[in-house]
Amino acid sequence: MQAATQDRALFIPVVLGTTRQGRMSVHAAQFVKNEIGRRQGIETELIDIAQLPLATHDAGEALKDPPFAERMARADALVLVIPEYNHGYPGLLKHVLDTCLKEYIHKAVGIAGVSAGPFGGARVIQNLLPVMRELGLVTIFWDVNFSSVQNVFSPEGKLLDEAFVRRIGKFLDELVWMAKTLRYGREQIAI
Amino acid sequence: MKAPLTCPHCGATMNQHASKIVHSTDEAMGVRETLLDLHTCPGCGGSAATSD
Repeated sequence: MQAATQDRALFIPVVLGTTRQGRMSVHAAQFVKNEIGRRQGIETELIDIAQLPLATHDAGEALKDPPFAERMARADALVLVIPEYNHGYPGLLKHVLDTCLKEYIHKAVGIAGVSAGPFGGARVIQNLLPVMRELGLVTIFWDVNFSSVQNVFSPEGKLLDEAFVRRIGKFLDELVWMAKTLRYGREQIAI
Repeated sequence: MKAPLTCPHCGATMNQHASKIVHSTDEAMGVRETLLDLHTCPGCGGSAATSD
């Protein structure tokens, strides 16, 4: 049983949490996904909420999108790349997250904030923590703050500040540790 | 004590690792509170949720 757990690759998708046209967050999300993809034993993919069917006639699990839910169920951890809009998180991200619940329980989450200003989404990360808790997601103590994102990536998405490679590395080290620990807990530790 | 679940994918005994209250609404019953039990398979990583 333990060998099966250790042999199976971790699955850590990156969720791009905005649908806004011209979003710079897409470059941040792609960068994070690429960094995850360089690590052995970890599978990843970019989930762009702009590509999901987002009906608004209802809310919550009644709107569950099977492909999205399948990814959340299979995930060992999530990375949320979230721009800060008016000191808060995008409403459509919450709308998407609310379509699942059991899929998130006892899984790790790391949050990368994005802003055009100097705070790098520090407020959006803090605002999202209670939501993560209620969804059963376990947050890590490392954040990534893409402040003044227009100076971090070129319009074409090329990384302009190599310091983020090391910062992402630390963030992912902790996220992977938490993902492995919680996978073991989900599979081996009974409540 | 509830009987453990058998994984429908690989047949291993699943591990119940969490219980969580969830709220839902529907037109017939209004707001409902349900205790959801979460299970994960140590063999294949599959998951399941059950409620009373």
